[in-house]
Amino acid sequence: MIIVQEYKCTGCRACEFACSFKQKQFFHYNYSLIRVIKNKKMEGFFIPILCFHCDEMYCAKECPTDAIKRDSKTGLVTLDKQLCNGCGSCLDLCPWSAPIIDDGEGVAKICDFCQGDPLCVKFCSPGALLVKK
Amino acid sequence: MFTYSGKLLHIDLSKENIWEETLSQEYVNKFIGGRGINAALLWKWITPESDPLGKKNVLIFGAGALSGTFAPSSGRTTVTCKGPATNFYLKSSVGGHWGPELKFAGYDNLIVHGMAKRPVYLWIKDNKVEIKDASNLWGKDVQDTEKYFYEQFGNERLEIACIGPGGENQVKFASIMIGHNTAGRGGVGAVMGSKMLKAIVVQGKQPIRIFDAEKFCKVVLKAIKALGEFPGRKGLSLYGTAGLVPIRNEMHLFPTKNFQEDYLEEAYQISGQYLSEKGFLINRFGCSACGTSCHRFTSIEKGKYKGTKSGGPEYETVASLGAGCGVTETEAVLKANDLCNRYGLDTISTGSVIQWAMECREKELLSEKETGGLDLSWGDGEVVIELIRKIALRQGIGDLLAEGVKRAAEQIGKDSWRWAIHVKGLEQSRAEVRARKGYALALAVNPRGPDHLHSQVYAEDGTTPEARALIKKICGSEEYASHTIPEKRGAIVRWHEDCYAATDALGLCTFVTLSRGYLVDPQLMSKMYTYASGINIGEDELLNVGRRIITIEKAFNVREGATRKDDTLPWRFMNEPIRSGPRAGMVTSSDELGEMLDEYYDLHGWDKKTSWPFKETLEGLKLEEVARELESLGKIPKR
Repeated sequence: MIIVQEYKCTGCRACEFACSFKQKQFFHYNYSLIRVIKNKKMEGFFIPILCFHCDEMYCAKECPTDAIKRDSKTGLVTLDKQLCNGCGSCLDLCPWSAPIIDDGEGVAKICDFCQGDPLCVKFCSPGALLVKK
Repeated sequence: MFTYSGKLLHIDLSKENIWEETLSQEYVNKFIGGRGINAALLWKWITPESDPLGKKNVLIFGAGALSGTFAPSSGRTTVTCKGPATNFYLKSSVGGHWGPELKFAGYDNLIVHGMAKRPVYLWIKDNKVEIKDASNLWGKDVQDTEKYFYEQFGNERLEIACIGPGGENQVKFASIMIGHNTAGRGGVGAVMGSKMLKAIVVQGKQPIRIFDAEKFCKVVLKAIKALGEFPGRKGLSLYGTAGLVPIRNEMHLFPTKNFQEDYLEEAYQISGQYLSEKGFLINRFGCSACGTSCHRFTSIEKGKYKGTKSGGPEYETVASLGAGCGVTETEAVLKANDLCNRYGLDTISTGSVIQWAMECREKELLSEKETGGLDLSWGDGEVVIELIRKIALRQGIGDLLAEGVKRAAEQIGKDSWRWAIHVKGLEQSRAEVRARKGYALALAVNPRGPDHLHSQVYAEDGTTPEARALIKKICGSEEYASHTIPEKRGAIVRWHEDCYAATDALGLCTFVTLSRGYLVDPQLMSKMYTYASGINIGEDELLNVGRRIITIEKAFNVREGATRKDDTLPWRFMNEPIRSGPRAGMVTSSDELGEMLDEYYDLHGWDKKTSWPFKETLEGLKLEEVARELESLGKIPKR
């Protein structure tokens, strides 16, 4: 899991660059599975948003193709790109709007924890992102 | 084109004409990007002796070549134009996220020509560019302007560069604000105001592609690791640039009361450490891909300045609006900083004109009638705050001060010019250069005027092993790592100038490439650029590009009439010794500066008498067109 200590986030967005790079080998936040938003209730603070692999799995509730499941070994929520039809119901139902729709591929994506070695954490110098195995 | 967007955007506000230009390989090869390409464009588009606040000036925004990638601290944007404070070359560098967004919108550089007939703003979204009416925004401060755009477009990913009333009223040191970051120096905001351009709002979704992903990632991670391990960076993260206050003060290098003193008893109250300990610091802000996050966000929760919230303050701000004016009340300094940010004023120059006025009052060169009844006593925070308002709105004495110290001193006359701490018309950064010889030279020759973000020569202090190693590399011996000796300062300044220019062209922050640790050195910079762009460039060639940038900036000033006499220091530093501390008695005399200038010009291949570059120097840097034009103007020196 990636643990977010949001009070340490400085909004530099290095994590977004790292994630879009990991996904697409190029840079743009639209393709990042983590995104940094401004904290509207506390001016001056930021919140890094990504899939928290929550117990409720709101994202899967209305998925028409059953593309979203929990991996029994890792406990992570996974999205099968082959099954996904890009309808966006997962994004709509997630309280944090964590999934993204990849314009180019026409499918939804959620953070897959970089198979245990997340690049965003390596780029987070302020230490707002931590890995918990 | 890897790491670039590949296009330049031109907007003529007079004719409401918009056109694109392909980013030429020649510009890329010769000037890399950011400050470099901006300087080449300025040379091309400015007719000599144009009015900086007239329609012939151009306002150029340039994103760095590595901006929009995860290269460390790579989001810096350079704003370039002919400067209204100096009538010479001006660039102002700013952090934040605006430059990367400009590239995402499809453009590496933006060139604003002409002058609108009514207030307008530019809306640039994915290669779609519109000139829109901004009549309803004219007069609004920076925060309200930003709020309007966020409400209007309902998207927090907008990046906004805008001016406040300071720019609208063409205060000679008005800034352009980009979120909580500032393109502060030299009056870029006044130029934007003269064009009646309130804001430039950008948003885009074009990704930035790079040449060799694997190698680029590897070299960037190496740089990030080195930065993370450097102790100096931790201090910068924790306390920001204002964390320098206590140590500068202990060293008696903290300019106080318009550089009359260099030590302030209560300095700790305006330090980054104090802001953090007393809860004024809300959070640290990071510019694009910058883990150092030295920028601050501060607020005041109680008392008469309750509700004050702003980016900063930086070292230069607390030194200028605080110590320089003798103000040590923390809240008053934060309020003054907040007001400058809202009005869009450079905090360095604003503090500088106010402390000059305070000294003139002390020396009875300004009467109470002239100050509009304001008692300009040292240390009165409320007076500073009131003067900021008057300057931004050009009311009363504010109208005089809004012209900057040089012009204000010309108007007041008598001895007031002696206390006007400027060179070429730009108020000096808060650096005590009577004791720091290399720094003194750097400020004297700086084409935009005496400023720290152009060639601050950290290495001459010799405070880190990396700094001493660099001095050995430049001068042949570590012995020269001492800032009180004038020898070899030309070589040290020249190396730093090259490295600063290369840093700005890449869009990196000088805190990672220079600044004590010298961690992202030219070798590492050249590797990052090579892997990102696919253009193979070595350390020496990168620094040579830096030299070319410095030289075309110098040539711009030569074309505008600059000669050796413009490369000087404020009178005070050459004539009035430091009063206290270990460096008491020191000045950088005119003779001493002269010797350093001789060495510097010689090394550059510039004529010692005029300071103008020789023809061979320009041609050696592949600036043949520049040489031809200067020759036609009779501005190539004879051997």
